[in-house]
Amino acid sequence: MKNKIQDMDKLISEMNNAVEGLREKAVDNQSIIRNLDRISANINLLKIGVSDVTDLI
Amino acid sequence: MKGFMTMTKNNNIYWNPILETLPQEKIKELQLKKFKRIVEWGYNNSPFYKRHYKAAGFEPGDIKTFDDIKKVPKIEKGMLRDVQQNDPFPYGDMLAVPREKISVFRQTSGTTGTPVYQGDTWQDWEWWAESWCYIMYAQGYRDTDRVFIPFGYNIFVAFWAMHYGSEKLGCETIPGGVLDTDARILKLKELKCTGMGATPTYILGMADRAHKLGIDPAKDLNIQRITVAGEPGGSVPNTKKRMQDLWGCKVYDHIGATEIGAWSYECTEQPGALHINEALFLVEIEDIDTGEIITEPGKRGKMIITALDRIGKPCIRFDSKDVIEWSAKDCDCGRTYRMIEGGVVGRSDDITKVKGVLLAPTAIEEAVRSIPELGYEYEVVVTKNGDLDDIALKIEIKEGKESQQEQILANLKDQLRVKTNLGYKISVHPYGSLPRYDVKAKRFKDLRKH
Repeated sequence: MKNKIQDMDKLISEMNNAVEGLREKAVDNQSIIRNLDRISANINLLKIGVSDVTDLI
Repeated sequence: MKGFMTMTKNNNIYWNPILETLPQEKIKELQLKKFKRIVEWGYNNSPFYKRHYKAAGFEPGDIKTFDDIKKVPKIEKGMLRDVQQNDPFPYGDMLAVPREKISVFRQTSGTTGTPVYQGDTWQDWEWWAESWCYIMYAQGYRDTDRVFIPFGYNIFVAFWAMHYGSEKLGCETIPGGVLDTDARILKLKELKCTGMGATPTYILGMADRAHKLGIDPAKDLNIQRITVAGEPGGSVPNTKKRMQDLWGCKVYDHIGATEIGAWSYECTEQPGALHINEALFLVEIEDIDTGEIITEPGKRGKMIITALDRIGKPCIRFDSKDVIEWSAKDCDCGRTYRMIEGGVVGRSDDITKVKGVLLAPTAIEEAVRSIPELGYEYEVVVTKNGDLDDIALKIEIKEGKESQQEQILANLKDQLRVKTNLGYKISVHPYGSLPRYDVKAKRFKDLRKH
């Protein structure tokens, strides 16, 4: 289980990096930026549900 | 060791099996880590919190251990009301994010005074929905459910978050917004809805109205589970029984608040206690007289609560005035989250001395609702007659039962004596004549304070 959670945490981190990379490319495209904002909010909820416990197990 | 998915009966019963089965010592570690993070966030980003903490000589770095949490200065509703009188409009300087990051406005119902404005970021709103998914999943809702929300969809949070939680969980979600009660009942029937959420008062009132329309909710509708919130009734045994009998399904309690979030829920085991979502909230119970933190079951105190992940307008060590006590039970559902016995048993500002006896209004509700011949509405008015307290209790007897009035009143007096240790001036009113409430009922009126 520990490995599984660590793997999920790593993938969440990669998702976050991908979103930030996209944000840089989007410049001032509001459609892309606002969609990324919503994705970021959900990535943060994934962190709450997974990443926050990674170092506790 | 119980926990961390080692004791699960079925992996499908948890919304998040990682968090909901974490061993209790790990939950405490998680809470401490998150508590430090939200305190630092509040201190660095909310001028209100920085001022509040500096005035008390507190710095976030002062929190080293779990025991240090109690050193963090509390906040209470009066402060939230005061701060929103100041600039910047409308939240004062309490926000921990720029105002343009706020995407949702709600406010408290105003039951206890001036409404408190609540601004949430989009992430906070997603967090609200996520919190409700824990509740609904634990109560058996699945993506096959068709969920009806008979709620006014206005500026109060109330069942907005259930709506979004239900959508997120995958349920077919029906907003019963501006429909009147008759139309809502007919829609429930037409669409064969399987789940619903409302206040206990409204659930009782809807059933009453359905019978008048010739519809027996227990037989003619398809409701399989109901979530109640907003009032204590879901954990008052006789109110719960009455709702379950009328609707022919399980009724589950949930407790939340606008300024806190959806922090507690009953699961399908119905153990007589409610789980706290301890991965998202930190609950402390404080002795009302001494201010000491209560850690053992069996002693009531007021709840101090922190929403560990709410970032827009943080809620850190909020003195909710709700009176709760730890449960000694382990729940058969396998969740390792601690429970509170019997839900919120009152508010510290509602529990009052009458004729020298401590009285919790929920005890009167439990007595009235134990008499099946009585209508579901009642009203209590406490007044001062010279130096003496008077308690008047207004009740309704169900239609067709009026001839049994003498026996009904005798039974009620017995129940009141057993449950509250007080005598009442009881008056019987025509069925349907006492006020009906759609949202939060105001049945207990203490006029001695005015």
